[in-house]
Amino acid sequence: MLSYLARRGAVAVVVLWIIATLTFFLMHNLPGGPFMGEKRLPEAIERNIVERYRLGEPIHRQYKAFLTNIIRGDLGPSFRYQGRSVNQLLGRAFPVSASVGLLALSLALGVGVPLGIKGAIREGSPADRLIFLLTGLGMSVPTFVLAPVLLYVFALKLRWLPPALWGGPAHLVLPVVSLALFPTALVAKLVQRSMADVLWGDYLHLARAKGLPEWMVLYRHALPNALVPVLAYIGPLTAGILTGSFVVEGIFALPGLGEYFVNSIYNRDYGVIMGVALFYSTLLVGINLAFDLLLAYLDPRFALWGRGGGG
Amino acid sequence: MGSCGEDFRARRLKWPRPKLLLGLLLLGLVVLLALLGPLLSPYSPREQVLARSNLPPNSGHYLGTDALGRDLFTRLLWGARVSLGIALVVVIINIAIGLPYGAISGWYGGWVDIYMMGLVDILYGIPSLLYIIFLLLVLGPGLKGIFITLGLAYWLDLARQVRNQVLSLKEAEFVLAARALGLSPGHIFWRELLPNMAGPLMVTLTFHIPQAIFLEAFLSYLGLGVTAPTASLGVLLAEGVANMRSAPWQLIFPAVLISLIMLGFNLLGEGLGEDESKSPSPGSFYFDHPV
Repeated sequence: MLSYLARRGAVAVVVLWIIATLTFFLMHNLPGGPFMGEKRLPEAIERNIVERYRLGEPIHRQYKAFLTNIIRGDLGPSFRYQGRSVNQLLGRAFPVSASVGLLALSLALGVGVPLGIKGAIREGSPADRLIFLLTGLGMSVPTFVLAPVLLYVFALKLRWLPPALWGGPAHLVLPVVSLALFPTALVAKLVQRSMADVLWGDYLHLARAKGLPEWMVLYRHALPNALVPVLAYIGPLTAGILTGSFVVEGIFALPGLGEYFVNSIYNRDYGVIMGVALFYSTLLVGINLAFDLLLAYLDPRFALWGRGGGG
Repeated sequence: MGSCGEDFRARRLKWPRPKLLLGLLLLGLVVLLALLGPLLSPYSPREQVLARSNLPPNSGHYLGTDALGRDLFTRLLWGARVSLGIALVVVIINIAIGLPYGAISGWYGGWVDIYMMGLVDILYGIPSLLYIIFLLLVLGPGLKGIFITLGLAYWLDLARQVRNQVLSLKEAEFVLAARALGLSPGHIFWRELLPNMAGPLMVTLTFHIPQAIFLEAFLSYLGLGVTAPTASLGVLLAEGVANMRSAPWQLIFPAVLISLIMLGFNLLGEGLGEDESKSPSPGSFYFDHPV
């Protein structure tokens, strides 16, 4: 277990280092990028960049300065807006993204888990059919298709909900629903599948034979075992919700990170692109690490084989 | 690990298999439309007639026209062609990298395997979407960038799957017999191993195609994909989103077509997967880019 923790932690550090290095070299090769000196930036910004990234010095010094800044948690300035740092932007935008993402994740778990349990108990039940329908929809309608269609139907045609911007809870409904459809379907499907696998295990027969009521059998004996494999997908799912939020925020004009990221792609604000990419990568690596350790704790076999191997 | 249950389910299967049939039917229709596109429509996908801009669906333009007066039906046919073509190339690149990589790792085992799969694990940790976007900014938008980035994005799954299968097959008796005969590893791979893993590989690849269409559409939507005047489905969708208030059909029709293509491939993949007693875990395809 300890060796697993150490190994897993080491991999996470290596991944982060590779991500940082990759970012550094990609930044250096951006056409019209800050390091190519092709496009004239506003003078104050350019001076800042030259100083910050040590552009006059040899590349290994630049690399070192870059890494030191990141490790200190300083993601640098925006290349378009004078006097704004990526850190300030993250501080303002991340809470928006996080609340949308967490709401979507809670919706996915809150609906998906009970639905999956219900669907596993009997084949062909309404819950089973609903899961079939949801997975069909979730798999074939991408978020960036769903979001504008929902926006058109519910905000522009029916006028039930506000179309865009950040405001009261009503502003959150459409973004959260479009973000949650796919994860809900997925969670329901996973829970259903893994419940169906444990439902007829010997220990459940024993539990039933002992005369335990069916709800006890389901929730006390079957569910905890069924949820372990599902947990393995929460990490990647969170990653999916985060990236999905890029689209959703763009379409609903929510002032979250995704919106800034997409805008910075449109207007080539490399400082923001780099900062957001590094921030998200660290976040995702951290989430995955946390879930892997949690899994290894709950089911030590996981530490032995890991996610991909052993199958 | 739970393989008994899966074997049981596999045995229970019987024709007719609605998922497989429906998927084939749907995709057959879309491919046919994409291939016959020029014959079905009198318009050119690039011809701009500003006098006819933003027309709703009518008898001359079945699905209406776009902001530049181009026939939307024609644009969709060509868009489907571009999107499907891109997906196909991406899958081929995938195979070209993932298959040999996984095969070498699984066949030689030991340290080779540990290092090669270690690299795959590390690459898995990188949030691919962000770095695809980054790489596209470096390479510039256009087909070349799309091929390179998407080709790089998807081979990891395939490499893992091939490696696991080679690892489990290489101790099988027919492979041991082939080795005892002194056949070369290349020969054994092509003639003995590959035919035996073709089924599950087909399933995985069937799921990769919609993923690639998905991702290409998303990147085009961000303005990083194919460039005008070529239009993929993602480009059409992005145009539709921009005009949805005044011309909703420009949003609805591309949305429906993208969804139908995805549905077709997913049904096909599930239909094929029902055949395999060891269907791959959903993790390998649903999760990477549920954008």
